[in-house]
Amino acid sequence: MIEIRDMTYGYNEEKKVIQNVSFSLRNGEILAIAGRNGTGKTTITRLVMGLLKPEQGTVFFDGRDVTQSPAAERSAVIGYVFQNPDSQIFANTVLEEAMYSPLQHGYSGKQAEEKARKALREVALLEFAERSPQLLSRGQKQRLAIASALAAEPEVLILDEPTSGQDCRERVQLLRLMRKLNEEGMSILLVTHDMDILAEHATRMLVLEQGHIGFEGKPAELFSDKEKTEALGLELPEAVRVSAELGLPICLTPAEIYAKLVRRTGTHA
Amino acid sequence: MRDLAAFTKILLALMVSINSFLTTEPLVLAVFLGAEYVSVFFLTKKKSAARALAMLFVFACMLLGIQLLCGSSVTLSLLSAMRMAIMANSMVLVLFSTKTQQLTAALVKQCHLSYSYAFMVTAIFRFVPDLLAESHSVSEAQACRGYKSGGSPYNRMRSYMMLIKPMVFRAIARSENMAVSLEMRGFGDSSRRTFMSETHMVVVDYAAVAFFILFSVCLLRFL
Repeated sequence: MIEIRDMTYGYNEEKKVIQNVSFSLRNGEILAIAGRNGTGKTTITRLVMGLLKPEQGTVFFDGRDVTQSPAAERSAVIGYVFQNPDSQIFANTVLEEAMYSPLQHGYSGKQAEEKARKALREVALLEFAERSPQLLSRGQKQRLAIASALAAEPEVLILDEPTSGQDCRERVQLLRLMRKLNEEGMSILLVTHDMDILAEHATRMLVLEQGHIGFEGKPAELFSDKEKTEALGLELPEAVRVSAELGLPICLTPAEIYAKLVRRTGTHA
Repeated sequence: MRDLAAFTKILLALMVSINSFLTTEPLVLAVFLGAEYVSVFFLTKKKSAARALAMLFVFACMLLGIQLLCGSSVTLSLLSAMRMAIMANSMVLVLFSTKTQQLTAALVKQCHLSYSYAFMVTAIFRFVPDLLAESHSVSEAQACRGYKSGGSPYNRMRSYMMLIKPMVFRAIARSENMAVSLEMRGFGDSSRRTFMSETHMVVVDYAAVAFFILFSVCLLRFL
């Protein structure tokens, strides 16, 4: 779906944040990007979105070279949700906010409203359609930002630290939403520091290390190697640690631990 | 200029601005202007300062053009454009070559300005780069939803609203946070206040001021 080939980028001449990085986001998967602070996770997503132009390398979308196309053009097929939703909220009502993107892409007012309402229903904000976005909670604003991206009906969604600054309930709601969108066929590129989220939701993961890809593969492959995980500056997810302490095979989620315990003991709680 | 005390820089900026009003000779103003352009390359070594001066130069040229179009004489138009450039450049040089804390300390300790006012002045300068960064991130966020700043001037004005609104909201939130965090750390208790980056005038500062006075007198007297 999206392919990045030999990408190099630096904010200054001396130090390149990304060096000859290649990877692809496949159809219908959740690809998580992890790594220490400053390793270029957000830079990669900005390069994919077209907010930055690479010094070297190519971005392909469905086999088409889109390296030179601007972010506004790519937004028809790629939705980008920023860490801080306040960067984008400007409209007087939640509905107007969600309508902006389809209007920018040439849909009529009626079509844009239909798409916006559909997106708001998807993120469970339709009941707030006429409310001012400034009155929403942080989690609701984040879901509104997702709805704004979804209203343009993109094929890929980029989520940059979507759960940061949210309480537990909002976090769960957002992760459920992400899962639902993915099950409906949306490909997702997820930047996260949270290894529990990554272990539970990512189909594959990339770990960036000093401008290069330090690991690419399934979360279970990396988390089964404690030394490698720590060498890449990551922590083991809670479920992986607990399953190791219980002497179980590697589990990525509490549900897996429970299932394996039931299988081992033969009893349900 | 990096080695000079903040107060010296303020003094030099004031003197150059006053001098620009004491002469009606474009050549003298050109020398002051030239000295400022040389200073930016040799003293601040910041690309952003050079860019700011270049923008001010363009603005001065526009001012010159407008005055000529409005019927002012060439000499008068040239003089006012150059004076504006000299004054603005001197402020840019001070700001780009001085730490904000040093500037605040100089305004309070040496210019005897109340700390609240001095802080206001420096907070404004602190807010400018913050707002620029903010506007950049807002325009990126909007570009991700198809924002393009093109079309007719009316459409452009309308589309700028979607940048301005989030910026204003975020600026208000930021200033509220800043105010609270300052209050929490004793802002306003000025009687016992000390400064982290206080700079005092030393020999080199007095020499710089003396040299500038001599240089100005020679220029004003002999050119």
